[in-house]
Amino acid sequence: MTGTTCFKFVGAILLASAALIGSSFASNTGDTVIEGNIVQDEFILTAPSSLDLPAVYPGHTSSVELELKITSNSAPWSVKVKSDSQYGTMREFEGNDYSNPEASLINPMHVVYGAVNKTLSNEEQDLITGETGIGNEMPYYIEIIQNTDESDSILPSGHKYKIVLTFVGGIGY
Amino acid sequence: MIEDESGGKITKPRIAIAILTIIALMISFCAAVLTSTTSTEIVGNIGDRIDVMPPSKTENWDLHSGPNSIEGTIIVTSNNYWGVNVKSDQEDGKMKEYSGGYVTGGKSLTYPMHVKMTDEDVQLTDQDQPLIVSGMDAASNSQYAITFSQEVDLNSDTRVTPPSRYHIVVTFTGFIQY
Repeated sequence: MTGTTCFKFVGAILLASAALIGSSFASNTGDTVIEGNIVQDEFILTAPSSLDLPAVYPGHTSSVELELKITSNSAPWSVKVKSDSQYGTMREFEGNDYSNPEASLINPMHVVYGAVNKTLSNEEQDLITGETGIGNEMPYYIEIIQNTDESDSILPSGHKYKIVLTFVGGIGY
Repeated sequence: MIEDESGGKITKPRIAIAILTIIALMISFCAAVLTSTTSTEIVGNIGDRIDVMPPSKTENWDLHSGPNSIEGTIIVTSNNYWGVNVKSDQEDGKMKEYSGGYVTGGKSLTYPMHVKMTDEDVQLTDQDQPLIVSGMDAASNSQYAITFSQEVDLNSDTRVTPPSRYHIVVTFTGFIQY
């Protein structure tokens, strides 16, 4: 082999090597494993923060629909209801508190779901029960019924009759 | 002493000189062959490169009714414009019951998982889909937030009995975007 031929051969090798270095690592892959499970015994209950009863003449009945939203991933579950009034009656309210002395409607409020009709008090009472899990804020429509009496007082301006309902629920509750 | 063809006499020193001259000429000739000069042009370039380190494994994700999301970090190094594709090991992109392997006839969540990086919110399938729509500038160990989202519907999704759990593998592929 002559010197010239020898150099040409080496040069070819170098060019080939240069071409090899020029190859691209143009993609790259990696995996992420994700594992989890649905939580056990999850129960979520929501209710509107306030509702207005339509005004009625004394001796007439006023009612309004209240929507509860329930989520439960297990069963059985139940929802109970109570009020902040010992006798379940709406009481005179002014500003930020009940009046003192306060006027009060004569008849207690009723809460109705299907065939269940409860006369409110300050004690918890069963309202709704479920035997299967339910998901994603299932709506339950409650009817609030207030019978007025002819002797119920009409309140002065700035005053109103008020009652606070509390719904409590849970799995196996 | 050696006689030449004409009868002339060639002394030994002359012979030596001739021999030495011949040898010198030979050496010169060989040297000329060994030192032949040529040149070779060498060309090359820096190759495109991208390295992707995907988010770490997530275990024991507590799935609640409704939307759920967790975040991870993807780390990218690239010397050119780049993008990222994402896919899952499930054709429908849904987490499935798993216990050492996917359970035959096991449970599946109702909704597919979603993955989001910067531009796109991708509903997973088993096919590559772009997480980055437009080419990102070259990066060096740059970190980007990845959000995994999973909707749970308790009307149809139920808890699996441990040690089984819901499982999915999400694959991230970085590529050079010309």
